[in-house]
Amino acid sequence: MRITEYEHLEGLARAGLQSLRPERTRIAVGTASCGAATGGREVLQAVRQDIEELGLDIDLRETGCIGFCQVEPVLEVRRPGEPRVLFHNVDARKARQIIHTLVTGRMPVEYALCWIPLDGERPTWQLPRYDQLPFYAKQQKIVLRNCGLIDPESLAEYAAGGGYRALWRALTEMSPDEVIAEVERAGLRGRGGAGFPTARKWRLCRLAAGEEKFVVCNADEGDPGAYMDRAVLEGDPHSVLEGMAIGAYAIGASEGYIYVRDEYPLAILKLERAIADAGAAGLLGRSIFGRPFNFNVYLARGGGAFVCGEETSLLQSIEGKMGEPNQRPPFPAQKGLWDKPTNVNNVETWANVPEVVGRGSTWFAGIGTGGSKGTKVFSLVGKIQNTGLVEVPMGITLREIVFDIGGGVLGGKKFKAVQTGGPSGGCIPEKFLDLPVDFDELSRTGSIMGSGGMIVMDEGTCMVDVARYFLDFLKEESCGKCVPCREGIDRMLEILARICNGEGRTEDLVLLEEFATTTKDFSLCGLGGTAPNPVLTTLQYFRDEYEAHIRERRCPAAVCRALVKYSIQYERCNDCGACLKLCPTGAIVGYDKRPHYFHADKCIKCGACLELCKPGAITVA
Amino acid sequence: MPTLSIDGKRTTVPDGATVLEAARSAGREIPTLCYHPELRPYGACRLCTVEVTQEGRTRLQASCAMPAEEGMAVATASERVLAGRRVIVELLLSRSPDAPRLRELAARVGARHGRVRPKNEKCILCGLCVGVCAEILGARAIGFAGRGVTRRVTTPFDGPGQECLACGACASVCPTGAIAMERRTLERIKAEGSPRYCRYMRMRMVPYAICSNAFECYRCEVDQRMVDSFGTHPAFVARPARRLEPIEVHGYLVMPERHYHPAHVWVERIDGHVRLGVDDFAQRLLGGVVEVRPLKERGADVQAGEILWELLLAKGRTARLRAPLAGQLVRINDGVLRDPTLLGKAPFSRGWMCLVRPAQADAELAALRYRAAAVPYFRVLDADPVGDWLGEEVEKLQRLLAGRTGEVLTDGGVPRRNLPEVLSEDDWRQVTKTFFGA
Ligand SMILES: Cc1cc2nc3c(=O)[nH]c(=O)nc-3n(C[C@H](O)[C@H](O)[C@H](O)COP(=O)(O)O)c2cc1C
Ligand code: FES
Repeated sequence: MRITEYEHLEGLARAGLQSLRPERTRIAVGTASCGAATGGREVLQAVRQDIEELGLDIDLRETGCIGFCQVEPVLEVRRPGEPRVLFHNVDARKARQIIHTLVTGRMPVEYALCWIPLDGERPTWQLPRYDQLPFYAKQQKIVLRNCGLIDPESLAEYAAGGGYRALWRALTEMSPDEVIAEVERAGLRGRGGAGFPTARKWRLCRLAAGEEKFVVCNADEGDPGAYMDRAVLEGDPHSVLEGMAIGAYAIGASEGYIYVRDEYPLAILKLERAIADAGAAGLLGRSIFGRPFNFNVYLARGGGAFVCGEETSLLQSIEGKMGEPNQRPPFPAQKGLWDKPTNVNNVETWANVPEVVGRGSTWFAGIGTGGSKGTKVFSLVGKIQNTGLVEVPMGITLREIVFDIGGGVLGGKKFKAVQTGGPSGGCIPEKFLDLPVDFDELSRTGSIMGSGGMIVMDEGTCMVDVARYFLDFLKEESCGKCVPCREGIDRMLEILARICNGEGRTEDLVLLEEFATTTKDFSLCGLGGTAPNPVLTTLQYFRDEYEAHIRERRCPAAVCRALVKYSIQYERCNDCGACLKLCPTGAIVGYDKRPHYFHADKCIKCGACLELCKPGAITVA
Repeated sequence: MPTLSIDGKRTTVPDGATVLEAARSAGREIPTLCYHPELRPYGACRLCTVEVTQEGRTRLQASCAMPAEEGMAVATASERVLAGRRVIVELLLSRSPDAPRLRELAARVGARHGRVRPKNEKCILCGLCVGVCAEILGARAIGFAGRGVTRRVTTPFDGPGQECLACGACASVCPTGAIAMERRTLERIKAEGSPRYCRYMRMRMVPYAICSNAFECYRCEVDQRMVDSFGTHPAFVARPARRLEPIEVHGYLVMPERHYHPAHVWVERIDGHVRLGVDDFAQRLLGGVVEVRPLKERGADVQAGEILWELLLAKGRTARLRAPLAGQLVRINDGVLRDPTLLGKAPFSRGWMCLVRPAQADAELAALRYRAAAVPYFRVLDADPVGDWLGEEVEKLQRLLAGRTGEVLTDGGVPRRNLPEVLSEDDWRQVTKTFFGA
């Protein structure tokens, strides 16, 4: 049915609520890429089989990522009249037990993590509410509002949460300029990295000369380890489509492209489905809501090069050319896709738009800090207890994210640094842990917000090695067009490699700083412009580690192989002789029941003995 | 005519000028490497970077690619700029330590030398050769391959390269002497070039000339005279030839540098894509088009010869058009859907029909008739397959309509009245069958 009246939209929302709260038990399994990777599909299979074998009347659904990757796969159960219950670390066996207990009429709370309210129902069992868990307590979900809670393939369930009402409001009550003004009052800034004010970009594009204009959604997400955009596309694709439609209306565009990397097949499937459903419901296509506004969305698949996330390269790539950046100006808003004015925004930015327009700028601007409004999604990974996708209001401190939400450093080790902003972000030391997280504060430390990667590092991390690691990635990903990026990164890497190898020279730090500054200042695009951040921030905050490597030929974190030495603490050694047998190069000499020692020339520092030694007699320094 | 300040000096420059041009007109010297006045700015060496202050914000920008704007303040030699420039030259020099041009630059900007391991690569990837070949000669015989530190200049798929004209323009612009004209290339062209076209002909500077010197241009008197009279590599003065205008042939307009399919669809090559449209001959047969109905959706795969569009004409008559080559339909021109009269008004520009990513462009395009561009000061064209074919089509049309509905063609063979209106149903079907094959 084509939706042309507000009543139709309300009807759709009612149908969605009905499907979220059916008159029978509903089970949803998280099968987004992250859930599938930990066995979500097997769980789904097991549940489906059980339902068939036992002939149960259960509504089985798939859902997106709920963010708590540590406890995946997750399974959610809702019985009529009760709130949802979330089960964690489910496998096929556990899933069967849950179902078999449910058949008896009891809720198997012993396997459950928490309950999630839906419409004010109260639980009858002893279980924390989801926001009583430290992981969720400080989160605020705007972008991820539906992820993991609705069936991403159901347009109705998206509508149940108020979906497409913002588009209705924009098309029927607001002029394009009013939409832009609303986004401006909300203070929405781009989530793709640079934090450029979204309204300003839209206005530039609206005012640009030309009849044909485009909006583009940047879903390239090239940062290794980052997956917030994927989670949104897999878990709530309609939020992006609705955002793009509102943006297109504001700008005066009638076509949109979503540039997704080919490595996201599931996201592509969900998007295709969402585009088809929205088209059939008249939410995309010609005369949307019966108004004189046409908007179509097309998918463009990218080969997955990091530099293709940069907007000018991305547009080249959509046009079928080599993905290489061009100097701006002209900005895409002036001369973009097929030389027409084009507005590029990130997935998360687009997903924010319906909430901004639907719930109003005052509400949105009430969240966050003076210069950064709303929330930001981070993918929290590294040496941390709770890994996952977290959405937090801007202005929360790093300490709260790492220690409250993340549960602190893994294995009780000491915190050393947190790296934000993806491979070209910077490492922030402990002294800035109480920094409020927003665009401007992060860049003041020399790091960037980037698209939201957050890697926690503990005391066992060598910061020189970290800088080397990220530069190695960037060297592979630099397109090679401009000199400072191509040659500068290569040379910095050369210097870092020799420092890690114990061949550093005293003048190396000066050289690194000079090359880093030039690469940052002189590069053609943001890749080179940010690539030196890992070097510059570690040099600034962990200079002593560099100096230890160069002056003392010592790696304080005992990571750089060339600089560490293995030794045996005789007082702890119990003469079991296990290491003797294991050592692949015969570097450990001695006899059974006699102390052993290392043959330094033969040791290849593979670390096998270290892992093996029960009494912990082998040490690295 | 924007006015800007260059190192504190107020300077007015013509519209469209770059910051680099503005600085040079104000007498400031900015070193450049990948810039060439005849080429589109490539902006890769970053040597020409300056500090630009605009609306209170200062940014470093490559001046060769930055349009000059009203009220800009430009610093061409600030400490930050000079320091960066020194490092850029150092990075380049350590890549190619022997290039005289770089040594000279290093001395000029005071770059240090020998702090990092030399790489001894000749090519510094400035892109001038690729730019000349693509933009001035239209040959695209060389391009970039690889990325990051493995980036290099090479021929398509590293093969022998069929597009090379052996004109030497690339070698003439190379700042480091990394390109040498290989005897092998010349040998190949010699071996396979049965009509041995002179390179000046291939650059469209002379209408027709056959090489009598086995492509050893240094032995050729014509070459010497050309170089003398132009004072530079001839490629750079061949530019006027690139301005394209439709030409009238047998009463119909023909746009040069396009391929023509027998069913009257033209094909224009744009990078990896081709653009399709309806030629002028067809437009005149069709009369006014009332509606364009695409029969294939965007994204669809099309086969050569498959029917792509149906056109609704006067009196309810229709005509159907076929795809000239196989590929994927990337875009349909919304413009002609909205306003079908564009088709007749601007058949070679705004009235285009769709964009296709061809499956095998080279092979299929080679099978179509091609109209080369004529050089303005020489009228002769060595061969004109499109003109010849049009002549045949005109004759065919005259034969077909002879004695049908009174006099419908002018003496030249151009329809005088709207054919779909004056012809009977059967006659019209005959026309579409003959000329559009559908
Ligand atoms: C090297 C590089 C990689 C980038 N990768 C991405 C990316 O993966 N996703 C993204 O949304 N933006 C990426 N960006 C930022 C885009 O260029 C652009 O600023 C962004 O899409 C604009 O959207 P926003 O205004 O919504 O942030 C990248 C930028 C650079 C320089
Ligand atoms: S001369 Fe401007 S970037 Fe090379």
